[in-house]
Amino acid sequence: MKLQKCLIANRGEIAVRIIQACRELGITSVAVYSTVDAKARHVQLADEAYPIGAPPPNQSYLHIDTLLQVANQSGCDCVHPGYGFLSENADFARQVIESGLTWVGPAPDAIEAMGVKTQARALMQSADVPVVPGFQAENPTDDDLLIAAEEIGYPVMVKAAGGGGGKGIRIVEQASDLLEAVTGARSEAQKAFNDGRIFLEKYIADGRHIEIQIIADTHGNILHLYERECSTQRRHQKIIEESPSPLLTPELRQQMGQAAVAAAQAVNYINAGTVEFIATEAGEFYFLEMNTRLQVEHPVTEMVTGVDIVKLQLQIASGEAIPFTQADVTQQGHAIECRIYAEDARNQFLPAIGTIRRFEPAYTIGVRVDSGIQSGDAITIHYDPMIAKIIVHDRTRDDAIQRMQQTLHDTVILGTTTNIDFLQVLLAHPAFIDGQVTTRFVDDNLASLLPPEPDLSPLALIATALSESAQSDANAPQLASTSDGDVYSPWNKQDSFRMGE
Amino acid sequence: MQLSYSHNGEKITLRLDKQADGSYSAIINDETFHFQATQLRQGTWLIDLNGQRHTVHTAQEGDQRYAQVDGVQYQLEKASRRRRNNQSAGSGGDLTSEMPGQVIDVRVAEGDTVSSGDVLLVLEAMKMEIRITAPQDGTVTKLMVAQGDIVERGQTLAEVSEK
Repeated sequence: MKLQKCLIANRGEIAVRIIQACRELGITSVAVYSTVDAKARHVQLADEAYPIGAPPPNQSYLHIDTLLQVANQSGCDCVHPGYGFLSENADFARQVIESGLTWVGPAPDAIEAMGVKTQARALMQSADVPVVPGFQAENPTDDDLLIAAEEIGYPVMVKAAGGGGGKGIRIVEQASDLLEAVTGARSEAQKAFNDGRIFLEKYIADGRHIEIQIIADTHGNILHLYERECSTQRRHQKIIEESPSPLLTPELRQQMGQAAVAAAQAVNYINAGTVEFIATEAGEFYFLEMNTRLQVEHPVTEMVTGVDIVKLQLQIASGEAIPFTQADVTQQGHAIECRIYAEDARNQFLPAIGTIRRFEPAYTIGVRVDSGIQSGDAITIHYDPMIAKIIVHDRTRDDAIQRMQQTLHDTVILGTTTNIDFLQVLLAHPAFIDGQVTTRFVDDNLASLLPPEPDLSPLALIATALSESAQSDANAPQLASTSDGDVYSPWNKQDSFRMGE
Repeated sequence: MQLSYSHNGEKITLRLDKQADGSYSAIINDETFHFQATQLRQGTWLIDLNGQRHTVHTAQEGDQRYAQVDGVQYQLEKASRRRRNNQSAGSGGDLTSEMPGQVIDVRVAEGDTVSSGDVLLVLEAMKMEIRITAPQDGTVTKLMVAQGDIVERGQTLAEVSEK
């Protein structure tokens, strides 16, 4: 049964991305928006758009009843959740299905099985997928935790059982700090996931974050679309992602691909998902978690494999079989994604909310820009301050790095501070160029990675003054006391015209 | 055309003149530059300075001026005749927000008599509290924001008239 009309329960660039896929498949797209997003790009591009409430997510994009009401009243037959918001909320998926709609994603049971990290670890162990040495128990005592941590060996990580995204994570170097970290992680996890349970894992200090994209249909086909390396992170938040990973050998790539397929099969996974691993220089790799949804960095995989993952998600949800086999999928060239954030690297990376006066991506050969923003849009305090994802593709990794540098250089974003200069420093760092970045590289070297404050360029002043003059030209009164032809030019005025005093 | 800006608190004056041959000269503080300039589109200039061509992009919002030169962004503030907000004592006028943020407290109402330094509003921006204070003794003639409002950089928040 081919899907006809899709509710996109999201906003921003990922909503725009899903609308694009819907259009190509002839599926009518239905957007939703909070009051602050009324003029947002995803609202303008969708075939239909409906208001769902106030800007705080729990009053709009997380409001299940309203979303279901819009889906049903507008005649949708499916819901795509994007990433974030309700994408890994099994309750929402279940209610979507119960109201007779198709959920563009895995079964609620699979979301649940992978959502509780401790349960997922146990499942993976039984499926022979390597997991990081660790300890989990219902209601462990302080002594249980101390003994277990000693057995695992410090440093250990305290992690939230109920969710990911870098929340509720503590790294503990010694036994004397363990219990305090456990208390902190529990309270953070309680707040973030409404689930205060934690577990322990060996902290792999020089690990690399490598994840495998999985795709599975309802006809029993399951395959992987190779890896993405996302080791360039700050405080567990990814900044730069790429494929292929500079770490993997063909053998390791194959082993990880197979492990990821086994992980997905263990939960009868359907649709697109990502199995995250931590890998070491020595060639060991361990399961971290499975993200049961579309991932922010999916374009990297799309660039190297040529597979349109979002389109495939909708086709799989329609009941179609994956139209290619594992052997058909190859990695061509190298792709890199940079996440462009409105944040101030020199001011502790605080979000730089404000209006984007100009946003002009530098489109050229091998460049893709996924963005939900257009000139005049505001970055508000309500949502993630991501402005865009810039993805480049080229023949080799070195070529792709150069292409990304040039693209960042040529991208115009004015009106807010961005992390573009920080990204430029990262991309130029010998550790990145040599493919040696580990997940703690950015945090360990932050001071030396901050871009220096540039000296004011006279060209900045000159162009600002030129714009000022062009503007006063346009606003000039009809009668100007000029002696030659150009009556509108302030350059010809006899008086000492002054501005800004 | 004479303009003044500040950059990171440093004051800069600039005089821009168009020459008879269509070229421009600019005197920035005491240094003189000669160049050719073509407007490529609104806010974007192709500038030929000492034989080197640069495409420079500009934008503005309130008194803020933004420019991007060779991949680097700069922010300037246009010197304004108007009173700036907090901490700046002086004669009448309106109070504007220096940063985008949220109004978390409104401590006065229209018509209230205030003394110089009284806190009128509290903004939260970049996780910092910014107090907007009365620039002089006077009366709050206009209050343009309410608690919870999101304000933009350069937005007028209130007006205080002189006694």
